[in-house]
Amino acid sequence: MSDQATDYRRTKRLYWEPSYVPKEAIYPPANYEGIHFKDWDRWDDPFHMSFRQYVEIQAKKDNGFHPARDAFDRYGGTDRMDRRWLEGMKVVYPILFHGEYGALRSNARVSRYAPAPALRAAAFYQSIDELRHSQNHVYQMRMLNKHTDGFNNWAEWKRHHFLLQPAKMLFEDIVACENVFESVMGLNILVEVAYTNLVFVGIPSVGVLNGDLAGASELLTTQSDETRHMAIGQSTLRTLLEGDDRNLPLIQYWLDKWFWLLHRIIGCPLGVIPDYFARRKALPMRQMFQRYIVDNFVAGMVEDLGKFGLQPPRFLDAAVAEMEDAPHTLFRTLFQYKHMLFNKMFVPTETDMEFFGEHYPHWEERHGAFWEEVRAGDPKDLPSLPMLCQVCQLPCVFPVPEAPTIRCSEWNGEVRWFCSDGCQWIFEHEPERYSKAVGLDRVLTGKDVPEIRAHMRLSGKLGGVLEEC
Amino acid sequence: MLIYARAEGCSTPALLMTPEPDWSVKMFSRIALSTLRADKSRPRVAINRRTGEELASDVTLGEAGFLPYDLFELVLGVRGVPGDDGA
Amino acid sequence: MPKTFAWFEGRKRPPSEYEELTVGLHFGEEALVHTRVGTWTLDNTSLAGVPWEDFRDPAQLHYRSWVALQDRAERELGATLDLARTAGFVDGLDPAWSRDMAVLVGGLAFAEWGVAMAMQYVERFCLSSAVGQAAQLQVCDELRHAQRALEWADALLGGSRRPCRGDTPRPPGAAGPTADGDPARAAWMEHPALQPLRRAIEMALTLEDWGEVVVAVNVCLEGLLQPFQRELWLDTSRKQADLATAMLARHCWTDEERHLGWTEAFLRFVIEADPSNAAVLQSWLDTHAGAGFEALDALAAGFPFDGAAEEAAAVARTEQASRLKEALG
Repeated sequence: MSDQATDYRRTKRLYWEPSYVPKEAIYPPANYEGIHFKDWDRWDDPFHMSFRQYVEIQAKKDNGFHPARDAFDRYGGTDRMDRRWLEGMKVVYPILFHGEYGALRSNARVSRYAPAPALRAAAFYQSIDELRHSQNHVYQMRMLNKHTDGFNNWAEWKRHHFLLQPAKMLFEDIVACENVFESVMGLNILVEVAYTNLVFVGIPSVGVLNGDLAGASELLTTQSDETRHMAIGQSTLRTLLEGDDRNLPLIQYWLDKWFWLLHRIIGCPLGVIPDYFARRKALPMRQMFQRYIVDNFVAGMVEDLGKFGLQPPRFLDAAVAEMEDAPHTLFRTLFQYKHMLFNKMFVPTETDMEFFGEHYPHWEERHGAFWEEVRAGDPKDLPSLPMLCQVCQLPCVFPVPEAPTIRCSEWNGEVRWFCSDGCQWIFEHEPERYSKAVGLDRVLTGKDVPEIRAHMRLSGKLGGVLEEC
Repeated sequence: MLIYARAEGCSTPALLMTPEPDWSVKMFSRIALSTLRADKSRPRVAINRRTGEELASDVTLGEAGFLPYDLFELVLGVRGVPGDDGA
Repeated sequence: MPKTFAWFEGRKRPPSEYEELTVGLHFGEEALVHTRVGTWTLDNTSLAGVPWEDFRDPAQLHYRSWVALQDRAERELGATLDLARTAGFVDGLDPAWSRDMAVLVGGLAFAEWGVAMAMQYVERFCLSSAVGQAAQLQVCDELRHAQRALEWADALLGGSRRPCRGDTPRPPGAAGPTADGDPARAAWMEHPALQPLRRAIEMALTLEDWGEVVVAVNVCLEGLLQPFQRELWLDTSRKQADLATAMLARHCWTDEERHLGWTEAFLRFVIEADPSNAAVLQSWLDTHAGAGFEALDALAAGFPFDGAAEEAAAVARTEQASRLKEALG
């Protein structure tokens, strides 16, 4: 029987130097401009996957996961999911889909255009993995859609709803990267090495506490593929830094940039899931962030690659500080827009507030008054969308709406606003790239609430308050 | 005209509003505070957040030198007292 | 009708699992960021007026069903090739036939991968999730064919004792030295019979319009060469009583039939959406069809197999013409 190593060598053999067209016509150097490496053929894929091995392993995984999901559905599992958790999943799954579909398209490009044959081969498998992940998330939404409103038009919401514009921006930005190595940095390193453990291991563990066994199973089977993707990123990063020290400044910039974007667009919003939508809680988000992002990812990266000059992310301290408030700020901002959402919101209970008091010492001082006013009868509903950051498309409300860090730049005669130093810094480095987006707050100027809902494809009684929480 | 408005210390994020250029700063301040559901009892000063410039209450918005999408901010304090350094 | 996603509501029949997992999921508009090289645009193809999310792949495969299918297929094919190699069946084949078939099979492995690379471009830039998935599954299938082709070519050259060789004599017809002793690569890079195909693939890899890539590669090249390959490998291996090559041919053809199937559906779909697309397709066919015929003729001339290649080429031309007539009307 032909062995795995032999199959892998066969795949590497398949790349050839063209002679009927210039090599640059098939592999335009623009796809890796600014990156230096002597011998791309020396690049190695740590997994050496062959096709036959791939389908065998993946078929086994699917044979484990899908029957479990079917059984969960058939035997009333969804009915036993906590209602709050279910509302949170209405937000989470379209965001995850954005990520996976973007990763699928991004890896199609890496696998086609990366200058190293081994990286092309590895990215090819990642691209098909991301199809699996995309469709597994759709399987979940398909199942949950049968039992509750708030999933049925998710594909339109991911295109048009303000809540999902940040994820749309993030993953389209990864797809649109000019340099394939930047997309590897953004996706494989920051999304996958830094965040997938938090998303696909940390969050499911909370999901299980709240009756979401199918979701936990789905996210864990997704994570089983991520090991390969992380390895692609880590080996790429190490090889580029080891291979030529001229790569360091660009890689450092990408690390600084994508760390901030991931913190802002995934880390901050995700915090509402374990801290709020999880009635039964485990670790607070700030501790999950500390564990998975700071202690595992950043410390591990510095230990491994610091010798090549790579520094911790520029805005690390700002991100850590923000985690004191980000989940609370975002949850109450969403509460103010509950009449424009596809999921339902709720008022934190006494139990929730005890948890916050224990884990977020400043919660009462910074966020307590808002909820007192709500309990006193103020619905807090707002008539129009908030100022959205030009880069991340999130509301400019951080760290707290009462005193947000709003930054301003003028570019090409237009005033642009940013939620943070990080987003402004990114914009000022790449203004052409990040000036294209027009925030939905500007698109929907002058519209009333029904018109805003119509634009965002919200029908019927979507949104509002969960009747029992 | 299109300008954002926010009020310091208020839980409402900055909102994009469409005032008339001939509205005075004073008039728009009242409208903005109402729209933003801000505490009207506290003294505030209106500033152009981009420039940091304090706005006289009798100047019209059209005369105040706003660019489209500028931020009209009602900071806490009395006239002549520096607002918070956010810009 | 069971509750489904909003974009399927109002239909008479419920969506299939394939549709729910595949259709309506694309980005929808242009990207929220601007870059010079990576951004897609909604006008990145000359094919116009097409409701891309209405496309359906006739095979209706999605990831889960495709993985299950290919896992079963690989077990079957793998068992056959392993047995043929380890039980000495290769040693019993006519050495001259084995050598010629090894050169052809090994050389064509690179063509399979070239097609995969072209489809990666389609997967990346096409404007719907359904077209993207069809292209993506084709990419994976082509890798399967390429790996198996190299494996079998190596086995044919080395017999049961040496599964992966780099020290074989220069293949017949090779014009120059092999760069690394790899006969399959030498065939692809130098054998006169394979050069028109390599040229056609390399040209296709420079195309920018992903619709044009579908026509240039799947219609003009695959539409001819896959039936040719099927007929030639099946016919000659039958005469040699070589079940393994026949099994490889059958497995590749089963996958390729799906690829040609989605391509035909694609052509019909874009014309039904806007009849003016027929002229666009025709212009691409006019541009690229000649390269396909040249590649086919060179292969048939370079690997005659006692007239079997010419017969296979005739079948291929007839099949392609029939498919085009069906698709273009």
